[in-house]
Amino acid sequence: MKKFLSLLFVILLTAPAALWLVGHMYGNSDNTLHQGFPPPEATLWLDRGYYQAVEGWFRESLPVGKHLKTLHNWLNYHLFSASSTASVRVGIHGWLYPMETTADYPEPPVARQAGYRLFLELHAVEKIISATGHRFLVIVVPGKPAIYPEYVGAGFSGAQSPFYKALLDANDRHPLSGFVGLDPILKKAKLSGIDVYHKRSRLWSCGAAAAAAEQILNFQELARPLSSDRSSIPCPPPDNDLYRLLLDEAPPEKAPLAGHTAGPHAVNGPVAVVYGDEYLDRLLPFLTSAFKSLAVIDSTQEPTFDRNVMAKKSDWVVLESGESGLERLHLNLEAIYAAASQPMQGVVKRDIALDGAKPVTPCALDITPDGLQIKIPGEGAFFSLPPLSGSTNRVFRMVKLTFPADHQGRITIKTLPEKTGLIESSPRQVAGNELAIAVQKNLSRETRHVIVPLPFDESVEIQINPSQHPGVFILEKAELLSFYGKNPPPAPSIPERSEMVGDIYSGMELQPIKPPAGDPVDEPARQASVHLTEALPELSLADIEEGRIFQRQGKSADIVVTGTYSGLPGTVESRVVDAGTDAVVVPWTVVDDAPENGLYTGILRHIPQGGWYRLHVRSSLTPWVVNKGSTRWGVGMLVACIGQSNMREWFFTGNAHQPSPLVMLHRNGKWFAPGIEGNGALALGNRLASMLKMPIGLLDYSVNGTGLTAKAEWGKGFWLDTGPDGIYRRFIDGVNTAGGSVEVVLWMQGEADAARGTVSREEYRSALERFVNDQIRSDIKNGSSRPRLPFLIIPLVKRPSGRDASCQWIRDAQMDALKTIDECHLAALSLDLENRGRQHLAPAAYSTLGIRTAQTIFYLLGKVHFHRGPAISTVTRLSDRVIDIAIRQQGGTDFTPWSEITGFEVLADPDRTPLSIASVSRKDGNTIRIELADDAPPDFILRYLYGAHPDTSNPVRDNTALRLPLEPFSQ
Amino acid sequence: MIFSSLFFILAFLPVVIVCYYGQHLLFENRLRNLTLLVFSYLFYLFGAPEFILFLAGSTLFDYAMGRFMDRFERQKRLWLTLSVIVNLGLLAWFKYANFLVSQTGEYLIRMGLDLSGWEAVALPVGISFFTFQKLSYTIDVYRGRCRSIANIIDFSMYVALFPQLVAGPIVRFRDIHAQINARVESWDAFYTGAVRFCWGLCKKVILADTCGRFADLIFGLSPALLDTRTAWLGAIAYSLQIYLDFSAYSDMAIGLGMLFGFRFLENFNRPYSAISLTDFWKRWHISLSRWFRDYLYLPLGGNRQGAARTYLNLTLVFLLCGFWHGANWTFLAWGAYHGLFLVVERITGLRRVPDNRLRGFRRLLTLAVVVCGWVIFRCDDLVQAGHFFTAMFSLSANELPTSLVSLLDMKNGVLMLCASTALILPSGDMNAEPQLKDRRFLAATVGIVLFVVILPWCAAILASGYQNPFIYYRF
Repeated sequence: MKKFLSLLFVILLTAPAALWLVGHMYGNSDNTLHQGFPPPEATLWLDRGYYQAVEGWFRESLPVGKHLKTLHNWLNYHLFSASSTASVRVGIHGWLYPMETTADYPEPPVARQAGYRLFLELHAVEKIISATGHRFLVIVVPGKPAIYPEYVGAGFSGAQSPFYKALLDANDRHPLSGFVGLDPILKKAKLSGIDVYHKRSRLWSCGAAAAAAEQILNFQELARPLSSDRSSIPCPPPDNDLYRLLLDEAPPEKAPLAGHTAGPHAVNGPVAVVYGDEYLDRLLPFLTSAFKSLAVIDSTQEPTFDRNVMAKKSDWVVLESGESGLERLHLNLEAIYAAASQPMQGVVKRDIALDGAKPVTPCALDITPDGLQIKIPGEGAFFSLPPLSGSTNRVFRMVKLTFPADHQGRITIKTLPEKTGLIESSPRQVAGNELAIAVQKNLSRETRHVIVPLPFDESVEIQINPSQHPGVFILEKAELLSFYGKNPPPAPSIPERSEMVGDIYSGMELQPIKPPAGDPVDEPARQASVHLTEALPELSLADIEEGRIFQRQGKSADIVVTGTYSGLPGTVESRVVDAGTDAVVVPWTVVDDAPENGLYTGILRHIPQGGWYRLHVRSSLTPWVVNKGSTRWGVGMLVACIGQSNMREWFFTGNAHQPSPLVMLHRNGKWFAPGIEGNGALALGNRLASMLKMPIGLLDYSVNGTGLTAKAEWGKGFWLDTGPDGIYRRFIDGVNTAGGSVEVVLWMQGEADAARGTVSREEYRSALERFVNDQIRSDIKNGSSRPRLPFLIIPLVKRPSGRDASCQWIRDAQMDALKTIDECHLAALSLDLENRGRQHLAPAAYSTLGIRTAQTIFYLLGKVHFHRGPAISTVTRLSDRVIDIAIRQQGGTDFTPWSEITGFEVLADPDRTPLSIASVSRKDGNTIRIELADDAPPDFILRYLYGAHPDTSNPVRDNTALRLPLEPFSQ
Repeated sequence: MIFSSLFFILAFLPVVIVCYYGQHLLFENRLRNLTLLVFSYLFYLFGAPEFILFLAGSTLFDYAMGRFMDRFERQKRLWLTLSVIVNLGLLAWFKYANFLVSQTGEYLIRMGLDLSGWEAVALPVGISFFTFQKLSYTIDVYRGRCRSIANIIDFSMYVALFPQLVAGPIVRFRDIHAQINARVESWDAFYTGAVRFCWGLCKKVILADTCGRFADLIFGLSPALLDTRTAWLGAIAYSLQIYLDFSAYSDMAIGLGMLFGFRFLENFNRPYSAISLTDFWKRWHISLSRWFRDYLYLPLGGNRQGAARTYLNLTLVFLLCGFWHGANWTFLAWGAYHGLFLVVERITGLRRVPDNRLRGFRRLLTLAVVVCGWVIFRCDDLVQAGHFFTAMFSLSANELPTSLVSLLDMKNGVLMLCASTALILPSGDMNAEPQLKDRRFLAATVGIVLFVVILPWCAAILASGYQNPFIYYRF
């Protein structure tokens, strides 16, 4: 017996790996999603990462691992009513809920504030759309816990999130005319026996969707489908998506939402554009009969509700969102307002007198011909506009603020006080006056304005911080937009502008504007009576962050000089000196000739590129007292590095380089000097610094495991997500902290999108185009001398094995993007470089990539004449067995190796059978000859560095110093 | 590599078994020690490849010291001294240099030393264990308890034997000397080893890690959130975790040894059933206690030189025992804490009270003392320990933290209850082996349950990505 059991033990241990090996040897080798075995190399023997890669490879490759994982999850659910997945909550009787819908809400006031803010934005969108003659419909589908709270289980704080509840409460008081509340109808449907949500599903059922559709159509007085038709409406069966998620099974391929635009359609019905999420899958079939046509925009793919919605010609705009998706809903009011192409009806615009603006916290205001000049020491400095009338149920009001096109930084706007009681408050918040509704916006390069909806209140104060950076800013214009709907009342006579505050229709008592509190004319006598020696100015300098690099504009940069003073407000001068030698770089220059409120702020212009520098300031009244800055800073080039793990490895893998003293890193909003870690970053930084002789700042904002598209969301976020907590927003915040402008953006990403094989070539390309044009170039100022901010791509690396079709889609999409996106360039090719076992490269490969990328930047600066390696120009079949390949040199004149070249494949078309290659060798400096072992068919495909793990042990590289590789090819 | 990983269970171990018994068939066991040596070094490569040469070098050094002691008998003392200095010196450097610099850095800088280039010293995995093993070898050879080993492969295999390389049990050379060349592999031993390994795996993956989740959560709470109930729950959870985790490792190590014909000494004997601290230390980490007894306590004079000297020896031994666990004041305090109670037991005569008197009360008291000791051991610093004790003894009551409530689900509750049986086990003989030997049906049932139910369950848990290293790996 013991012998038998001992053998059983051994068999149990050996069977999984043995079966897998047998299957691996004789079975299909299409392991697209798996990694190849990390190739052993002498240099890796003592590298811990290599052994971790081996363990990881085993864990991921072993087929039984997947089944064991499923078994574990199944046992947890069925035996213990527990979930192994953080995203699924197991309730009572096996009911499953998305965790995000049942999570605790630790900060209800914050959530309620955000909910109320969204409510105001929805009002704003509705008013803008209505003013253009269209109708706006908002459909919010209550989450599963709102309908079935009884099965959620212990520790559940409430059926509705504070966010959603705030929105509903606000809507009760000041209803949106197009808001369709579905809570009552779905609860009624539940009572009538309809399974609104299936026990194991995240999305609603067809019955619930039908009930909701009826409510929507009734509410909007639209044609309803005949009852006989209703029963024949095709509807997907109940989905066990949460159960599959719990078991960690792959989700089924999702049909595009656009497919639901299929009929039957009403011939005379309205045309609608629908922006929504997965709930539309079941809802749309019940709505099509009411509309002439429906254009659907998938909010999971396009996370921002903006001009794309308005661009489509429609009578109706429908916005649908699940309750849990509300917090991610991003309404771009500025883009919607700008896209409202038709003249808007029922809108009265009125300028807000900027001379009535007052400082709230230390800042200096001045009326100039360009508008209101604001000097601020940075974040936390606010000024206020004159009190304005708030919105009412009859008139909805917004403020439109216009800034110059070159405005830098994030604009923070607070509307206060909040007296509606909709936002619960704690004593701390009341004491801290934190009941304001605050919004933060980055100025769009296209619209130059921000729009802030005003709360429903008698009087509203607007406080504005124009940037988180110190500096001098201009508010060109502030307008009050009053939306009256179709019949605005006749305008009363307009008072004089200088006395005007608020809205002419509000009926508020008009008050003459008082001069700002800090106006020096207030107290001339006091200044005169002060003894001169006591009043001598004392300056303190708000020093620049150590190691900060200002992005050059041309060959110099302007910097903000700011600080505080006490005593007499004399003219403040500043100069820049070399940090090492104290040699004067920029002589004494007046930066603020009229400091006020104890604050001086000004711009020191034309500081030449270079570094490191220090800043000096002095007052003209005491020129012998020089206040010297202690930190070093410079003017140079900023390179933003984003992507996923391979980009991150640039900063953390290898220690082959000593950092140049001119290279700095910027991470998590801070500048710091690099260590010796990070071959890629240091190779790039060092090379740029040594050639350009100026400080180089590398902004490290890549995040492991992040996809570009929502389909590639692995829990780490995706780059198209513009939500406030997303990786993209963190990146933009980081760029803004570094000054808001960079010279190039470097992108190395795609592994996450390739991993599941669900992102097609065109999807990735179009997503990348949106990302570059609508996000990156809208949110980051172009610091280069190129017409648009250069976006440099390093295409996806080669994986060590597997039929990596999905990787190839991403690579192809990235190469396509080089042609379709303006100022998008190939930074470097990585396909010829070594992998370090899995999908990360060997340390030396990152050095090569850094040097190649530097070459590309030099090329863009016009300092070198090439940055790409040779490319195949023509393929000539000389005979049945001989093929000549002509290559076009770009920087070199010849190539290596001369024989035994690897990486070429010849496939018979159309079945793609590989043909045996006898030899691949150099014919001359521009020609490669392939000799086949057998005759080639008339149609064949020639590929280089393509398809399934091409052999790159002896790839073609040109004879330049950089040894640039022959580019991938397929024909 | 850790025992409780899918790679070890489904790749490394099967390959070792196949190779080991393959050479048994092909080469009649002539290569068995070489086989184990190769795989032991491979095992270490997966844990700390950067220290593989250090392991090999220090092994070679002690091998040479042993040989020199036999060959140059007159200078035996010299070779021993050299071995002790080098081994303890390396141990001190790797384990305590960072601590020393952090504690004295301010004074060293004032004295003019430039510490700007100081880089933290990385700790070689298992150094505390294999250093003590090697020392036991050189000391035993010096004392003449055994002769030095001539075959370098055999000696290297003894030092690096993967079942006990990184976390013990600390196998004294004289206990295993005979087995290195004369062990006998049998189906009985293999089966018992397999059962023991699976049982250890179950303890670690199912029970210890569950307790660990509670302990990690509660010890990570801010002092303001701790109340008496939560603090005691955390202390008990950690007490269970450290016992189940370490004894699981020992079970697996002993089981693995049996697969290859070795018989290691037991390392635990139901320690929470102890009726006094003296009894506890006869049941807890037995191999370490013995090492300190044989190579430190007895050479210091043990209890033969009067009461005061005995108390001093005890205190010293336990201070060092605490410090052996790591370079932190908490470990030192934990050692002092145990030393103090052992001295108190001697002074008050409690250790001479007959075992059957007030047995339940004494067990409870001993358990309480041990649990409080683990609080010191687990906390990051003494300030945290202070906060934790305040919560334990201040009779405060707060609402349970939400994170703790969500952890208290049915699964964790059931498993915690199962784990808690470790606190109430009878204190008699723990050895289940004879019982399994005599009762074949029971043995078969245990085997089937462990191999067919528990082993796949554990593998399923491991496949889900849970990989929690053993606590004693860091020592």
